[in-house]
Amino acid sequence: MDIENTSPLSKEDARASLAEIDHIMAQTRKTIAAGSSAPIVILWGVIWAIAYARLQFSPHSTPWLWPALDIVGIAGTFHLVRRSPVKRPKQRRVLLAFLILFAYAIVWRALLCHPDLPYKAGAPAFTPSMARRIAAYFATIPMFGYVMLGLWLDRFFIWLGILVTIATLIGLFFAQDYYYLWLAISGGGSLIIGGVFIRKFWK
Amino acid sequence: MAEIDRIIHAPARLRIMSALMALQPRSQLDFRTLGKTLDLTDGNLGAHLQTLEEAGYIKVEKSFVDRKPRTHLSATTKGRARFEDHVAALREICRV
Repeated sequence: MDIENTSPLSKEDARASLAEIDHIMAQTRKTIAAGSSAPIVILWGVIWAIAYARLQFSPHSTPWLWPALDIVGIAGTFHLVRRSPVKRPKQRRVLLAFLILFAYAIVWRALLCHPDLPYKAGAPAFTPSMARRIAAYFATIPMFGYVMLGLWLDRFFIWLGILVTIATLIGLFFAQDYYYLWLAISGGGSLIIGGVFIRKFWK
Repeated sequence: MAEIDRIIHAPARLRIMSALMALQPRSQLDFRTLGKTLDLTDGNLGAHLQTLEEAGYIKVEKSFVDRKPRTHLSATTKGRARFEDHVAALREICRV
């Protein structure tokens, strides 16, 4: 279909070219999501599943688990971004934005829940109910980041963020004794299944 | 009036430019991923990339990741403008 052989271009050829452009652009976006975003989502899904399952069955034995897994997750994310098939000019800023978001969440969690702060005097201690809400808070913070990220990068981040946020809130209100297991399965599971689905079917 | 771009119009180059236009400006796509997405052999892809690079439509950057050579490609500002012109020309033909 070289221009020298087809000039003047027919309507049918022009339509076929436009359709091909749309198809290739959509396919490329999917391939990029499968190669760069999906492995990161799977990694964080595994981290969620391990950490929340541990919290369900042995809540007080491993206080270091979340910070340790967060460090593994952050290091893994940097590694995956380096090996990603697409290099984005602002990808370091995206990672930095997530770190800032987490730092913000951690600072406010400390300010709101620390039992020694003067304005907390006389207030009830850190109750199981509050622990559940704090867990929901930390589960939805990265999902909020995903939704924001999805507005600029891969759209599937928007849906994944909304889905996991809804699942977390359902668990908060309805999953009584198995709340953390619910978070492990619904949150971690959604991330893993979402990532595997994209990796398998969007390639 | 927008014009059909002779360099972009060749089927393989139209697909290459479409793939690179799917990226955000200044983002770069890995050579191997591009070849796989478009189902083009390395030789075929390389030849078309050279034509596009010589025309100033794409930028080719080589680097090392984990001691392995990697080639990254992106559409230049000129390439993006020509592609958009080309698409506008195709739409005009469809409207006639």
